[in-house]
Amino acid sequence: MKILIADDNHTDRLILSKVLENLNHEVVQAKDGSDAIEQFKKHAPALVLLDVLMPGYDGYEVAEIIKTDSSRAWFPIIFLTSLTEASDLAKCITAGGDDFVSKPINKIIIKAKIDAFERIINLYDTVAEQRERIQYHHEHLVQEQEAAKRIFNNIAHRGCLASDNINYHLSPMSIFNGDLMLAAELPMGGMRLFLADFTGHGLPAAIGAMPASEIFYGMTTKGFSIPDMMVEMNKRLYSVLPRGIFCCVIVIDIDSIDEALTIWNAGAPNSFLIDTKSKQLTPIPSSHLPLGIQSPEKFKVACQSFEFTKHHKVIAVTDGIIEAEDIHGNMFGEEKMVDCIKANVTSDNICGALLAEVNLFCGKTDQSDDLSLLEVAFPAISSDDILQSSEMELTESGTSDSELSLKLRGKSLGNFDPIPLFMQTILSCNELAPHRARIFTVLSELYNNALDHGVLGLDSAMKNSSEGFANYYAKRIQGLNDLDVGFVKVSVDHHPTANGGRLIFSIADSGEGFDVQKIVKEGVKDYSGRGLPLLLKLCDTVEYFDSGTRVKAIYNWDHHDIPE
Amino acid sequence: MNNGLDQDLLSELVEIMGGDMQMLINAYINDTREKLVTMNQLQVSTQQEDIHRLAHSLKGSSRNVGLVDFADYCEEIEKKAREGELTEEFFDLPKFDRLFESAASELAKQYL
Repeated sequence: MKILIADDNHTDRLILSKVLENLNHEVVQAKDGSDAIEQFKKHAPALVLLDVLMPGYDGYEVAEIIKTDSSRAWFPIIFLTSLTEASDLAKCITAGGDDFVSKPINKIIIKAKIDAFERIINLYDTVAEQRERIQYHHEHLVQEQEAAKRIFNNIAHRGCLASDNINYHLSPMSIFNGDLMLAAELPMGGMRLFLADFTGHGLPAAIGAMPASEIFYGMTTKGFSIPDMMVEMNKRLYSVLPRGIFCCVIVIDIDSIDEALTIWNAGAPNSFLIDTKSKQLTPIPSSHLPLGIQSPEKFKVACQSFEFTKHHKVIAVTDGIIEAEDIHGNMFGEEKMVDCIKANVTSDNICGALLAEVNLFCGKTDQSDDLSLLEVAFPAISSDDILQSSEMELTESGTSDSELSLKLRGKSLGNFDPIPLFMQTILSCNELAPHRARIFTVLSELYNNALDHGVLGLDSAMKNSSEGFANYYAKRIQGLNDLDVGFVKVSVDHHPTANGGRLIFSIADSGEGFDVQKIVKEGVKDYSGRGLPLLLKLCDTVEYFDSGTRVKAIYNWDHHDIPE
Repeated sequence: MNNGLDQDLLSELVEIMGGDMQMLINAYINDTREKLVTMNQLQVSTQQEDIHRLAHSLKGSSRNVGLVDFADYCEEIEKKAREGELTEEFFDLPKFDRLFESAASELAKQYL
């Protein structure tokens, strides 16, 4: 060990040096206070022996100066003194010394003290080394988390959450709290929102976010329905999530053409549908176990549908808000949440009001890290805007010259949604990418007309009131369940033309048909249910045959005429 | 035999210093002679503080090399000077020199 001895007395210094050298220490000598400070800086000794009385800086002053050198790891100072007054000895410690030995020097005592301090120095070194290692690992971990966060944020991106009709709160590190919020525009107009809460914290909770996001964005843009998407998501999460980790979700479709909201809550707290006119709140409770628990064979999704217009809103939350605690450990609870929503029902930002209320309740600000809150109003975008698309690829490819038909019968009508299949096939022709929204709208309107009004015989006039709306959807689900006979046949014929192509949609159903002449004569008002005005606007021709049980729509497209 | 030296301490010191004993004794004798010259120049009436510090230093080093009688006398001077009670009468410089020189010559005889 390197030891600095500062003593103005030559003889004392020589003897002490020899004693220490005999104990195999390396000795640096200083002949007074200033020399001691200089030698200390130069040699960085592990231990310092300081004479109290020295000319120039005395021992106390030297101790104070060298102890403030923060660049040094801890080192002990032992004072050498022939003073015997208690107050003089105490001063050795207050000046920054760690111990003192009396002069004349006794080599046994000196050895004992130095051995004792050597053990302490080793302990300090070990602690410092471990702290350095911990710090290194900590920094490494933080870096990894940051990198992981960037990767996660790229995959689980926020989609169209920034839209004007949405207010939300989500912690920047939410992915590691297991919360996930996604939003995407639906190909037919309107949007789909997704709020998920994986159990647990940290990386295990974040794992499921990757497949969930991929499935969400992938299947939503292809036009898959909520049940189809959730079946797929459950299947994937069931296979990848470790035991004990599962995922509560709320998924919402807002159909801006039909002014309808479809929602499915699996394991999350009540969501609320708000009528800002009547100030009524409709709770939408969980109707299913969370994802990742049930095997794909047992998994069934039944959504609820509601009327959703410009004076409606929907609020979805994770359990963070319900379980937020005040300083006494009391939970915020649903009742307070409902009261707060009611008090702010006409506010533009109910989400912000709720958040402020929770923070007030908790009496601290860090609570909001665990909260995820989503507030959605009717999308401000008109159907014309939705039909815009910026994607464009001008290479002749894929299914530009093709025909695909599919006939669905009986139970299959309720079990299988053919729209994504057709869309995927049609869009294999890359030039049609800008037309995706229009084609989707035409195809789904035609198909749903055939199924709802044709096969199931439902009257669209029912949808004109809120209760009728719910009733309509209940009857539709019932009808599909009871279906044994009946069919819908869909055929899409795609021909290339000089500057683009022609899509011919032919849909036939087993229903009773309707009075085409009457409908066309009476105009659009009484027949809004069949979406005829929209179809006429999008297609070049729409013709009905066989008493309205068969429809043929022609959609011409042109390379140079990109839909606006 | 009282020659002013602590022989037990000196034997121990030889053990510690080994071949450096001569160097130590030389350093001690030279340092002390220098300090005695300084001591001779100090005035009892005005420089008791300086006398105190010098006597303290001489006491320390002398005790380390076993000059017990000389160290004891230094200590007496140190105490009186610290209280500011040192008199011309008590500050006996010839006694200083005599005590030191007799012990030093004995040291030299034994170790140089």
